[in-house]
Amino acid sequence: MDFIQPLPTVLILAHHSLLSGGIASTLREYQNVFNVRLIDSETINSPETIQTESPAIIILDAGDSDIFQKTPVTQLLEWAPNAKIIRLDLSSDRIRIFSSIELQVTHAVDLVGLIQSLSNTELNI
Amino acid sequence: MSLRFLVVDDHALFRDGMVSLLKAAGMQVAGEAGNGQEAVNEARRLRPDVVLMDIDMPVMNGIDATRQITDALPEIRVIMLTISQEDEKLIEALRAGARGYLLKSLNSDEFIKLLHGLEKGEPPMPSSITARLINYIAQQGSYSGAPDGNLTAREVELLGFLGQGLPNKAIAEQLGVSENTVKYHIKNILQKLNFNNRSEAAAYAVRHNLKPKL
Repeated sequence: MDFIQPLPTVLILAHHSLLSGGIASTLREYQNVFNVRLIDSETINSPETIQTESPAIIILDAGDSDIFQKTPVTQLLEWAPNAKIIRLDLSSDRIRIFSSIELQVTHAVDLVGLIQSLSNTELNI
Repeated sequence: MSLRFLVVDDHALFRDGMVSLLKAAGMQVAGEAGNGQEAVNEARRLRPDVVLMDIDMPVMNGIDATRQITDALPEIRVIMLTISQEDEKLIEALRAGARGYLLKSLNSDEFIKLLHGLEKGEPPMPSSITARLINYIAQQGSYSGAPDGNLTAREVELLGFLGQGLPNKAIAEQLGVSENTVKYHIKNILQKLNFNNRSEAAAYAVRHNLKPKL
């Protein structure tokens, strides 16, 4: 039996951004590679709005300042912990990628070990 | 017959998006340019019907390029497409020969709808821009000699709202701009008039009888 892998969803959140509309249009040219959804960020009022989309990638325009006030990156990563967030910054022709890792830490020593591995530094305790 | 567009912007990623949007809406893209000088050259070579022109670009800015294109090729319609909401740039662009003024904060559906209006001879200008243009022209007389400090027309307008005691959010709604833009203008007003806070600016507005034109 053939099993068809669903296409990864690219969710573009925008409110005041022609750039985002252009990016959505460009990505839709690759409709056999991505499932592209362009959503008005003003309509996002609960985690479910994001979670039902189950996005692999979320794209935001750094110039669309209303989004960052209403829905900070940390909030989006809490709602969609497996997603990677791409923030487009047209002013510097760069993108910034955000992702999250969730780990269980019950004792301080676990935290210290984690900090050591993350910072790649030998702590002299 | 669909209009042929030349897309001018110094950010290739933005240009790519605009080209894709225009094509998806059934419009033709004659070419692209990355600065004002290239725009002038490409306009001469490709003779598009419409140029979508950014303002702030290296080598030559969009307003100078507009002036050159419309002087040499008046049949080409140049439409500014910019993040700039400054009244001075809007006026300067129109004086240079621009036939429309669109903001990059439009959503793509509004953008395409306004461009479709071009085919019917309607200049693409969102109502918020038209209202500001009317306000600007109307206020030119009353601004002269009122406040000092070389304030722009927009800053004087904003002072009027400060004098009414309106918070940033309400001012932003009245002007059809973001709160960040309001904060930016207030910062400039305080610097130019050498005030320490908005209360001083509000008192100044009251003293000078500056009122918002609604």
